[in-house]
Amino acid sequence: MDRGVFLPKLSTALERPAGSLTERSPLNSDGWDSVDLLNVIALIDEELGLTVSGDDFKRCRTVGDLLTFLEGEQASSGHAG
Amino acid sequence: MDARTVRPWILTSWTIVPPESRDAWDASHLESGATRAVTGLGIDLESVARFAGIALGPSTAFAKRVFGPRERSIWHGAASAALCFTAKEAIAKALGSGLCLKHGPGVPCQDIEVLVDLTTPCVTVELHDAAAARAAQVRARCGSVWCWCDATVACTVAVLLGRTLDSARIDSALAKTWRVLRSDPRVRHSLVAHERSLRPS
Repeated sequence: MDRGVFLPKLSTALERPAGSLTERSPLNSDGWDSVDLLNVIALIDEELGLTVSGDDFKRCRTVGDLLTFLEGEQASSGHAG
Repeated sequence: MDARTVRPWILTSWTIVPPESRDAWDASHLESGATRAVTGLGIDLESVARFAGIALGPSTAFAKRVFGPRERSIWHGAASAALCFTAKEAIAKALGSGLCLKHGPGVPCQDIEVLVDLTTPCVTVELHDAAAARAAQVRARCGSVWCWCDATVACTVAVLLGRTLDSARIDSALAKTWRVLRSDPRVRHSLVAHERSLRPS
């Protein structure tokens, strides 16, 4: 997964202004509504071919944590991204 | 049809328990003493403009995973998509489960099929697989949804019933929910404006 490519797509999915989301941004998934959560899960499925659940997000504190988690999932599932 | 011309409420009721199963269903549930009138209540409210971007925008990732082909085939703009989603979400809340894409917690979005035809206007609901199983688990026998939308806001109130009720009791449950919904400042302005437009001049 190319973080530089995926991050802007995550910003778009979360309807955040371009460039406002960084790896240090708090993920704050508890503050997301169901549309946010489904939208990001759909993006991950579409872009990375990974199936994640809402519970997976609760283990990530920042956007960087999420990206690291996704890279780990890719590695364990054999996806190159 | 522009969403602003849609009637204020579309009320749909559907049966979860197939007719041929009703006698057995009644027997088992009445014997257990578990039959309740209202088994679940759910409300959802969404911005129509938001769905113009995520459901009808250039990326189809959200739309093709959340909505089934039959649902997407009869949409008329973002209002249909937003209304369809609010119905799924409200029914999922009434089921006490919430929504997911494939893996829980929650029931997969496409297992709650909602066909929104704003030209009639008409809403049709069918529960499949995990959603139907969850309905059986909470002993819901039938359901009603009230759907409403204009150009800015879509909302649905869903009620699941453990047994057939007379219309007055359904109205009472929905009226109570409606009072709660109206107290939300985000919808009050829109609804008041809409009701004004319906008054005879």
